[in-house]
Amino acid sequence: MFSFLAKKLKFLQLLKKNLSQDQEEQNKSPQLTANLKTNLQMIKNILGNSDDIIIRPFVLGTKDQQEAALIMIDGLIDKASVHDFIIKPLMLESRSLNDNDSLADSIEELTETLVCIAEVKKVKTLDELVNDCLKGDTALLVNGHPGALIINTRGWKSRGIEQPQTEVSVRGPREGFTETLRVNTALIRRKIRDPDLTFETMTIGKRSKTDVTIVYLKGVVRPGLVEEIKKRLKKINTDLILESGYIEQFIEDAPFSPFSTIGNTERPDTVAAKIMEGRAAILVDGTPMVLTVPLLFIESFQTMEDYYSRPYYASVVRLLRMLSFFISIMAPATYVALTTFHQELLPTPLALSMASAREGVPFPAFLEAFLLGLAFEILREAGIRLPQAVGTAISIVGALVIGEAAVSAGLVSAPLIIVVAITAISSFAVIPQSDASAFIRFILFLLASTLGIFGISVGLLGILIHLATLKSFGVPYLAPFAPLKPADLKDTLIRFPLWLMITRPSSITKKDPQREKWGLMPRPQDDNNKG
Amino acid sequence: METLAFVTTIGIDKAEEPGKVELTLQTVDTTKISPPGSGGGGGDDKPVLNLKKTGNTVFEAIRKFNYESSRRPFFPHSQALIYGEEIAREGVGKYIDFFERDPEIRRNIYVLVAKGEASKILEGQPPLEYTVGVSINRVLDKYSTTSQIIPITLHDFLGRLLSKTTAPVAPIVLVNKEKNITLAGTAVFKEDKMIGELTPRETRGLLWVLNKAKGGIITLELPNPNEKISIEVINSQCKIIPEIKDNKLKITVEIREEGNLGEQNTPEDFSNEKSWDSLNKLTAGVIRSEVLAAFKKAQEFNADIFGFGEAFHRKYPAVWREIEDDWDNYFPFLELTVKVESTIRESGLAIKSAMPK
Repeated sequence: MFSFLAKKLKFLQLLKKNLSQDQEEQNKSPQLTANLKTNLQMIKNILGNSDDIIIRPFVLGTKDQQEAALIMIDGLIDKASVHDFIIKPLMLESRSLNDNDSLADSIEELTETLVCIAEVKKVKTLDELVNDCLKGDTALLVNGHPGALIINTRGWKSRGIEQPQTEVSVRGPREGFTETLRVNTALIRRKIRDPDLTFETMTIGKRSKTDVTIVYLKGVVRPGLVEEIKKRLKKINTDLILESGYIEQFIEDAPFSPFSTIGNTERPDTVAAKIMEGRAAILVDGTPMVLTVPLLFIESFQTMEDYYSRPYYASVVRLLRMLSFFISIMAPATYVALTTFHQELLPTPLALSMASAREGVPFPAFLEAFLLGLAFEILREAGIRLPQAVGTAISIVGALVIGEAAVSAGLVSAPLIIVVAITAISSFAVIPQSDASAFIRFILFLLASTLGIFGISVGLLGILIHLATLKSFGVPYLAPFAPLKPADLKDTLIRFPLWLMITRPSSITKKDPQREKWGLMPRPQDDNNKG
Repeated sequence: METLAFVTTIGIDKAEEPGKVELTLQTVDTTKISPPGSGGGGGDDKPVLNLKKTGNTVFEAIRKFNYESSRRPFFPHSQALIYGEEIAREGVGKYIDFFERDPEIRRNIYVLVAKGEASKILEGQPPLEYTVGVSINRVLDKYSTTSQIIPITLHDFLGRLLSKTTAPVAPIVLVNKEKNITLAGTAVFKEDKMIGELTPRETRGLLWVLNKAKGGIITLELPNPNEKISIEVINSQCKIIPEIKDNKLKITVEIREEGNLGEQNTPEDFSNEKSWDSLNKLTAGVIRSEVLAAFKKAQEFNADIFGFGEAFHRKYPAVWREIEDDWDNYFPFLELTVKVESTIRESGLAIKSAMPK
């Protein structure tokens, strides 16, 4: 037994060693030489014989006919700009220069004279060159010069800016993030035109080499937050990052909690608002889902539209969302508890009609509720993944079979159908917590079917205690309720009018606390006082 | 839920065997309630089932239901506890302990006394409801439309039973030949034994003093017996003022009543201050006579249904210690003064009667 464990340990240690060796290798990247042929050979060795790699040798159109080569990857580059602004000037227009010597003493001079593209940099190592090419840049090597010019020619087919699928709004901007990082940063920059808005990019993923950008507003962001994010991001040592969900799972505070401690959104306006409240956002190339930290529990019940519409209905809707969260976690549990243990808690007429509805149902209440809940989850999963046309068919079959046939066959009681339906609808009202609520619903359901209402109370207390222990990047999850920050309550259960939201949420940041002036309440002058 | 028989009404009678009690439970037969929308169903059969068992104690009888019923009798939804007249006259004390002790019984179920056997009441056909319990419950809930029946919950009843001086009362329920169930009058208990009845009129006399007459119709008697006027009571307040003077116990009851002129079948015009005032006086007279009638009955039975003893207890705690055990000798000689102040507020949508003079 112990020897087995010891072996495992040894294996782990080996793994660690391998990893550290990898890192050492990365640090020792070969330098680019002055010899073009050697360089090209090295590049070919690394990139192999992939079809999409273009190596374009040519001769600089100067007197000494220097040999040069362009390296790029087909599909990632904007061909037109490579042709018009790199190849053409270098090969043809260079001839018109009246220079007797070799054109370039160093290749940086080429940027000054011939390369007509804004973003150009010089690299010295082979790895840098390859990495940048794989991002869509074009590398220019000139014989006789060590190093290479990296010219930004990125341009590939990408989806346009569309309305976000997951967070639709009636009133408010219709644009959503796309899969391209640069487009996403631009979308944020367009909302906040402040020089303090800072983007910091790092590359994560040994093989995917995904760009991950931290966005924050200098001078407002929670002190220490950016450093903490960077620290956690740097720890990620994995070979593939496909979506921001990968990042989220590597840096979250409570990996075993059903509650997410990192928010995600598809809407630039949401991200902009959160950045203005002192949060930071993490953009990941290749996904429209942007992470925001820190996340408070109350944020699940807020949407951007709350702030766009006037406060009355927005507040009511917010309370409604909280109510539906409670319904979605408690409804099946309460049904089971009431029908199996606490029949005396129902009003008499309701008790009698529920009893008569359960007449002839062959399953105990908890099994009945469990099976129907299971059927609903299957139906939902099938409906989401299927193409829309088939999805409709599934929902019709599901609705008919479960809603109608099951009741008339006497397999389930009609009140339960209502309970399951209201649970399902409610869980869709609070999308950010729908994962958590599905899990909690099941736990409470089990507790209720064994211990009744006592079980539900124990479960709810347990969840409350758990929520109180959670922290998201140093901020208590239940803030501003626990710890109580009275000034922050303006944006919780009730959404105060915008002219009363004077300060930034103090549980997130205390820097630059006042975001608007006092006394902004609109007071149109009385007609009588005019003149 | 499917293992329970929901009890709506509990009837308690004397069993034929001496010393035993007969329990009748009215349960809802949930198999007969057709779920709404399933169409058809119904018929004349009401979905109720009466079960009868006898036992030495109430609890024993209740457990015996499990011999025949596949479902356990479930009491929290029961609405009324009805004692048969015979067992009430013999004393309900023996048969109320279970209901006080058992957690399944709610304290707010109504206690009633049946004219005759309680089991006969449970066989009655309540109009519009399918269980006797629900019907009785709703009738008692809206007692103040007449104020001539008194709603007594188990809690009230036990409180009066435990008091040394205040006598328990309970509404009387009866069933006629058409099997219709009606509530009429009040049973008066001395300790736990029923000793007499109050008429509906006397019952309202009691309710005035108990501060519970918040509605009802007072019909005024005018000199001409064909002419009648009905006043609708909308509120009343009562103050009980006990007094000990010259070693005599006196009680003053001050009733302030508000009402509306509800109906008149006389052509007289009351829309002047003088005749309006006469209406006030007539109303006050009726209330006074109702209270006095109830008081007279109570003294006859020597049962302090008004709780005057408690009033003395509160005001004269020191003297009370001497009186308390001897209250039965004081109560019949208690002097009662009734002061009624009646205010008629409105005359409805009409000012004068449309009747030709």
